Amino acid sequence: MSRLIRFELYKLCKSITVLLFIVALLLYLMSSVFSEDEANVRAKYVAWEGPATAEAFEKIELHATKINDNTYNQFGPDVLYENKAIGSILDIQEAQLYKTQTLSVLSREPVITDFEKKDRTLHIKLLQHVKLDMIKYHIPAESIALFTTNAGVSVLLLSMFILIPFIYSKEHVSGVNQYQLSSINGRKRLLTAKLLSMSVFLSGVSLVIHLGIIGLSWYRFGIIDWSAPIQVIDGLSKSPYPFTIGQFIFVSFIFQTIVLISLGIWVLAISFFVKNHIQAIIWSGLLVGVPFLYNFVIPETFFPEIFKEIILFFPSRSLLTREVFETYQTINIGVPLFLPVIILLVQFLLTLIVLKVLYRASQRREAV
Amino acid sequence: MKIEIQNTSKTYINGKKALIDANITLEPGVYALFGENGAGKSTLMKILAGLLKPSSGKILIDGQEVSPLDDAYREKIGYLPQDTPIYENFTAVKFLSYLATVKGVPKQDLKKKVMSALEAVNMTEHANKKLKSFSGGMKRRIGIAQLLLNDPELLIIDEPTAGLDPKERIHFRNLIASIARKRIVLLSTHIVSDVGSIAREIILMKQGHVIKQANPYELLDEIATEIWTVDVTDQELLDLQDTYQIGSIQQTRQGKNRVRIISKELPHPEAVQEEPQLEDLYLYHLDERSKSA
Repeated sequence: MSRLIRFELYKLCKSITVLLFIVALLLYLMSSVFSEDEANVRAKYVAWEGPATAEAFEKIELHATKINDNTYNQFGPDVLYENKAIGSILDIQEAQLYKTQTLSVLSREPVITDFEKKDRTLHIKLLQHVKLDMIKYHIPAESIALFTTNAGVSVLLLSMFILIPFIYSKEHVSGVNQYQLSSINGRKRLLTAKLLSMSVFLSGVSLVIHLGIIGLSWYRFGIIDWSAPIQVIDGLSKSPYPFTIGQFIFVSFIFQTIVLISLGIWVLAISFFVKNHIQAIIWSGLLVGVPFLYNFVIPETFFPEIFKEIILFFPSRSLLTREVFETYQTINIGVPLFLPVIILLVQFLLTLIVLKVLYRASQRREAV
Repeated sequence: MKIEIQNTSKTYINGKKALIDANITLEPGVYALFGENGAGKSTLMKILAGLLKPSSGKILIDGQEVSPLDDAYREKIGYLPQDTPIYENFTAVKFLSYLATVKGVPKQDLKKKVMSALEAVNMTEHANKKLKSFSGGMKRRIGIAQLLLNDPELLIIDEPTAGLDPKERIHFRNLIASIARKRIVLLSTHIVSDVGSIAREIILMKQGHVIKQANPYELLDEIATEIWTVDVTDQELLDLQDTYQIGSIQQTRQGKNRVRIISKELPHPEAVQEEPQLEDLYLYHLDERSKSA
């Protein structure tokens, strides 16, 4: 089996042009993460480091008002750096405010059912563990988190979209499937080898993206402080999860890799059942593209409100882990189950069904 | 090994009946499948290659019923499709190593098997060249090499000599004759002279039916009195073409046409009887006009 997996992996990596394109795109997107002004912004930010108290924020706000006053040179480079630094610091304040208000609301609102009680207790417990007590330079860590949950996802999806839909359709179009289907290892074992090699390939791409951006950030910024809470990340101020940015990037990497493999299996299934490249591209494009582009390119007004929740169950959307970890959402299975866990469970079950269908079909497959 | 195909039919999803109630028995030796395009040869071969499931009927190996899609069955076969599919970017060795792995050749034997298969088709010196640089004939030889990788008991070859030059065809014929001593080799071809001398039996197919399965000499004996040649003028040739089934036509030194005719009766006062050849057999049974003659 290991030889078969190596061959399938070799076939995936054989397309040098495609791989170079992916690496070039990745490098280009990574380069956009690092601002030329970083050292200047850092210099302005570290001046405010210390406990994140109301007094500290008051001082910062006063300073912000002063530097943005008409009498001040508001368009000078220093002001731009200061505004950028202050903007980041005030994200901590915003998260603090949300935490305080939510805790207040949660402790006041009455609960009726047993589940509501458990759910409320859990939510409060999570929020209480969120530490927003320090102002510490967090921009590089935040940039990495933003990259891995946004631009990095498009590289992941592109790598998959360029290669995975053709895994089986290529065999069909070239006719090599005739050798495979008439050989002892050419059905179930070949399918297993293709699934495993695809999983290794996609995990590898995901790892390269994460390690690449972290390595480049180290090279560019020096030692990075990962300890800031994820609530300081753009779009995550309402997140109930008490992760540091470092922990979030790790959790997000694991989550994305699992989801990516699920999506890979779904796309491989499309490749298995279609007979040509065009169909493979169209169906894979619909599966991958529609959920991913929703709200970015496809206006959300075309869809009912519930679609915003449902769409997270599509792997290509749940790769955007910031959306998955954005708010507190649970379902009742006796105990509250977090949205990221539900998403993984649903995708796991759907993927199991897809795998079952694939294995059954591979044993009965005909080369018509 | 003995393979029996009993009352086997195949109807495609679109309703086309490609194989109708076929009954064939195969034992070690070469079997040549003759038939026009659409006669059902490829369908029969694909069923035996484990690529198609018959709609009805049975396949028995040494008396035991088997499903052609089962692993145990596929372990015994080697199949070469008509157009020799390849991975263009693989070298010959890499491609054969890949197929050997798919065919379940043990790791310790793999290199030896690949090299001996390449040697058998005279491709050793091209072992490390990419397949995209190969000519049609060279690709065909690689296709033949992959057949030998797992020592199959049943070899199924669709149009084996397509794309091969005359020298390669002779080499291939000798290769098939040598490997068929202990194996069953089923091949389809339009070039009847390629396999006539090595075929144990000829299987004739027409419109999805197996119409004959017999030793070539027996089949030739059946038409021994029906093959004629005569030298005729162009006008006489036109008349004969209207009435009889015509085989080869050659120009004579006298500017006449030497015509080979298939007919139960004397087709021309000057016609003389000839020894039947496999080409005559093909025409006799499979040419659409054979019924009217």
